[in-house]
Amino acid sequence: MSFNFVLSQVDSNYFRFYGGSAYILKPHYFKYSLIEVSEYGISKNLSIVGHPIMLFLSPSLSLKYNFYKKNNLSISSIHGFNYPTLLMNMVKTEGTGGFISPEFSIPHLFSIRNSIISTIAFEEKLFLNGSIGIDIALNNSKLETGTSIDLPIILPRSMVYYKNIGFILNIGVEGSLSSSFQFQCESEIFLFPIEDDKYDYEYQETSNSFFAEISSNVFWNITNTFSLGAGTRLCFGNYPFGSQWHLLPFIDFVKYIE
Amino acid sequence: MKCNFKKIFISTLFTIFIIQLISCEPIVDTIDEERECSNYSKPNPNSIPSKDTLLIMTWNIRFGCGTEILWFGDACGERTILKRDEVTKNLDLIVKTINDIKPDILLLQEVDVKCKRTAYIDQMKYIMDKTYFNYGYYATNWNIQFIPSDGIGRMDEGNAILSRWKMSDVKLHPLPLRNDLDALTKYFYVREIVMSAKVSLQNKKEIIVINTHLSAFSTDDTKKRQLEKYIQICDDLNLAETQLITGGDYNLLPPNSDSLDYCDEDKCEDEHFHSVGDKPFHKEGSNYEPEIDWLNPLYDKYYPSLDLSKYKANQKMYFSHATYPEIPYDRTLDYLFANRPWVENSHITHQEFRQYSDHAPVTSQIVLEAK
Repeated sequence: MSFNFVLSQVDSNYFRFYGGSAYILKPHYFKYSLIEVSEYGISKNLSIVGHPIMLFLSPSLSLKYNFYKKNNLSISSIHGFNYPTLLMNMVKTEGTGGFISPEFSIPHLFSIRNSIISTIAFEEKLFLNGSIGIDIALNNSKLETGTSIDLPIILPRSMVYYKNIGFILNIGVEGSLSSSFQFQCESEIFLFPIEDDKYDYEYQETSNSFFAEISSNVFWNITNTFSLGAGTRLCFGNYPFGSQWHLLPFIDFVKYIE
Repeated sequence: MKCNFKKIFISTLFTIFIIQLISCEPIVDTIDEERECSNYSKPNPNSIPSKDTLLIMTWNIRFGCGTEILWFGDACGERTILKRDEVTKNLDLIVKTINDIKPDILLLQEVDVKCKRTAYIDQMKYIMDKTYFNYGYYATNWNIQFIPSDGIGRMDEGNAILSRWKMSDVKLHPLPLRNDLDALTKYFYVREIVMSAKVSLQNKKEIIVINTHLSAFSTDDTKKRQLEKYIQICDDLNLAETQLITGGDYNLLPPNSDSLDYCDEDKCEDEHFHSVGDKPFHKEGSNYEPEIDWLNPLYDKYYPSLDLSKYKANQKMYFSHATYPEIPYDRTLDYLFANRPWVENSHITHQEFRQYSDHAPVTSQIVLEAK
């Protein structure tokens, strides 16, 4: 029942998913936003996931396949790749905007991510999402440790290129607060338990192995297919210089189109 | 399945707000006010007997970069991010030099604490762990979570005072910012500081120690304003019955220097100065002519470890800085002053450690008066 509800969510007056879920978007429907990844429904069980802007800067695409749906539970698998070399070269520059020193050369880097995501519908407008994934970096042996951008949001998502393998755990709740407002709370943990000789020798201050993010956002359903959201993202990380917290503001929208 | 998710949501927001209050720090530490300094003193200090004559040393250690690595910022180089082995190799040379010279009180400038450019090594802890000093304090003058330029990233550079004997009242005093920078650059730029401390010897004698590092590249009156504030701080702490020692890297030449313009010595391969149409006409931080008399008030009020007459007679012997490693030191920028005369002829500019930093360590001896 809930699965059918979500498939028809673009017709609903009250609820639209912002974050990831195990549900597959209705065929030929497209969900996009500024920060969160977009999704395009290909068939009843298959959708394509990626970021329309970042696709040109840091190509990243995934396929989401729903292989289990029964009662309130739906489970999908996600398989994708990322190629960050273009973006890293773009920010490797002299002067302002140089996030990476121009002294380094960036090799062609790839990572592949495979994950399982499940969604449980507690009631018509309350959903619990959970996922577990593994990231594996390819061709990263020549990447210099000094190229890392040691900032929240960025480092957890690029650390796999320095530590070779990463695990991502995610649990979140999305639901309606009223007819015009909905909320999303999500926590994500990034684990890099396998030591890399080069990186761990260079940066010995911490283990560089754990990052966590907690998001809390409220969305205002301005139209039937468009919501505007604001909130915060609390980030914690074992950075190369030590542990640090950051609380970042969050503004985003989500738009559904056919 | 029912649950009160609104309550959970509000509780989550409240929890995040509380965590924010206790956990977050600003991106840029603007260092606007006087504050305490970071304590690196050893937990179990050795008992050091008092001495009547102290050896004082000041050294700008150039964040353990050495001189063989051409850093992009001040040596026309291409390197921004140093590797751990490069930094520790230079730091070991610096530590060996300190342990060989054995100063009783050491003033350091350009010490990095967990900076991206120096492999996130806590250099203050590194030096304290490998030297005989019991007490050490660090005061930041450039503390930014992330500098989005040239890949510099996280920055925490500062000055330090190390002592055999206990220190107290260790304070950081901010100096005026450069006024010749655009607002964005100024926001992320170094805030030069003065660091002051009281050293208490076992025989109850007390010494006020003041360390500073003035702007290197300012082209306006910044250094003059900084110097005025620095002298004011010295004057405020200069009590008649207490010995006062001060020094550091002033980035100013002695007032009777022969050479005042180092644009040609400091220019990069593709740079050109001193010709009609050259903009700027002088290289930033290399023309000392307009500021040559700015140190006079300090010479008027305090005793230099190196008399101007001695300096004038043999300037090369006292040069303590050069921009490039392949040439000998070519100017004097590092000083020691006190409110009592120094031991005659005790001033030494240790030029033999040329490859360890772009500044030479400078030492001098002072006799403590009976309290």
